[in-house]
Amino acid sequence: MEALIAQCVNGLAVGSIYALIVTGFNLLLLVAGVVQYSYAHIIVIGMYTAWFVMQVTGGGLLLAIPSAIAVSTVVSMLTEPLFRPLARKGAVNQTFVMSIGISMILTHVMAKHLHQGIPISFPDALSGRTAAIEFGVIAVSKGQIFVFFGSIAAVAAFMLLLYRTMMGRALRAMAQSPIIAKLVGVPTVRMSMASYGIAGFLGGVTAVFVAMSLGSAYPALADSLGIKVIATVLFAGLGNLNGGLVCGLILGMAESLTTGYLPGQWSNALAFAMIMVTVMFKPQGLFGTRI
Amino acid sequence: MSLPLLSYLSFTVIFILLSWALYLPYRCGQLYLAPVYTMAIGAYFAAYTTTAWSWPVLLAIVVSPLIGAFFAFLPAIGLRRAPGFTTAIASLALIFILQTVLRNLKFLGGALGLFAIPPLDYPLTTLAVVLFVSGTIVYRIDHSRLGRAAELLYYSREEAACFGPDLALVSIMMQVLSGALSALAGALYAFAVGSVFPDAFGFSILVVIFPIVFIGGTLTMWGSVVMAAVLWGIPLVLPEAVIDWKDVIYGAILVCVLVLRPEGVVSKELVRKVGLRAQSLASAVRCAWMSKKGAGAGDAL
Repeated sequence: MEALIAQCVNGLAVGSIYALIVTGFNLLLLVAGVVQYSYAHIIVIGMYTAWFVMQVTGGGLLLAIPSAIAVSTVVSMLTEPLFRPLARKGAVNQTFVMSIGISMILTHVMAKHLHQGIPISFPDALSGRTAAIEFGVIAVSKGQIFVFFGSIAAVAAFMLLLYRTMMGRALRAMAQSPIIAKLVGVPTVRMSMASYGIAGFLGGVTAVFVAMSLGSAYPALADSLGIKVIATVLFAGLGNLNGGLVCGLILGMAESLTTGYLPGQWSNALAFAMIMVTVMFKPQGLFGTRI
Repeated sequence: MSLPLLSYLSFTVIFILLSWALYLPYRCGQLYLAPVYTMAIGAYFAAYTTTAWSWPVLLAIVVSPLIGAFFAFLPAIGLRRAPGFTTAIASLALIFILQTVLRNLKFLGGALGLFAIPPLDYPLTTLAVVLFVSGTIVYRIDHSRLGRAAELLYYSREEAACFGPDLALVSIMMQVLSGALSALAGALYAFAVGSVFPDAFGFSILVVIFPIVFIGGTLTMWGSVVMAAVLWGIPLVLPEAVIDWKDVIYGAILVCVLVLRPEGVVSKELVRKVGLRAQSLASAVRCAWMSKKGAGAGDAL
């Protein structure tokens, strides 16, 4: 029983990270109309930035976290002009292919030019591996607590921006219909750029949380995260923000529980089999497509 | 023939077949990524039957498309009505499920896979015959009722439905054909490399096929033929220092082509123009030959 609770705690921490990534991914899908597979690569670039700044400053968190967020935001915004022509035509499949092209370039940069492709390990100052709460075999680390509550805070802040501000209203208008949004005076190009900026900002925050949760990063992490996130988005329903949050948590819990109780690498296969079955019987996802 | 050249030709044919396997369902507007899944099935089938059951290599090559078609048919039933991007992720899921299953199956060698697979007896002839037969089938499909129905689906599912073709059936047939072609590519891969293991059939294969199909052109089968030869040949002619940047070069070309020419380098218009040029050249040669023959006959008279 204690082992089950420990797996659930871990699942909640991992799931909250997935939920955060899915939120950024869905924002781009809804507002900009792109399937940004390389979003996960941007997050890992953010992780490398945090690590690099910590190496240079001798473990200074105050500079490492803003740097990760700034770099992720800038890289995300730099991809906007590339996607714009395809997004205007509504060519969703081709935006996915383009993001794979971008991911090839980013993966090469990480594998060959950042720490020579050797996995990086974050100092304890960021990873927070020390146990904060202990009950028998259950140990909840400081990192897990921070990641869970930090993710809730980040999603709450994003929802406030989306539902309580003028910018959020403009973003929601674009998600419903870019043409009508333009007709009623929404600056669509600027808002599209803003969506990349917000997604990049969330990506930077996520990079810090992933660093805390995993304690390390490597180039292949981006592909692994990217595939899981796209699969979660599909499982929830393309562009469904609330569904994505729920399914992100479900994926984290399922992954943690299957890793704990199933032999070998069956956990990955089980997650993807769940997605296959959902797609076959409910092509619009569990909570319905919003695009 | 030198070994590097034979390897280049083998992989060019394998990637042309895989690109066609991606191209056929894309004609219906479905980004179907399962060719890697059926390629793995074809490769493991060829490897297992030739090593464990001592099947002749040619028999394995002939049977592998049937096995691939069968394994493509099963998920195709579920994916027949799935929209474009949903198909992409569901078919991607198939790759990861199969990889995990292969890693956990002891009789298929687990994570180490199968090795000591015999090579092709007559590699050049086999590759040429496989490419010619597959190309003819793809060409005939492209110009058949099925191909036209698929093209209509690509442009508009709603309009295609009005014209009467069974959309689900078209989608299933394209996925099954794609499965057969990619399983054939898998069998050739097994014989060309001599070993198969689960990690060989993953996302890395897609990263090679995507540039071939999308730079070559998604609207004709010829784009894949040209680009497979060019992109697979680039590392052979580039200096050592630049080869290291191969992925960046492929990625950058892919991004540039999608921004500047989304239909790809080899468009339908280009194929039509080249076809007309070839026709006029052929008729000019024929006329010259006839007049020469006529003059020769006149001289004789």
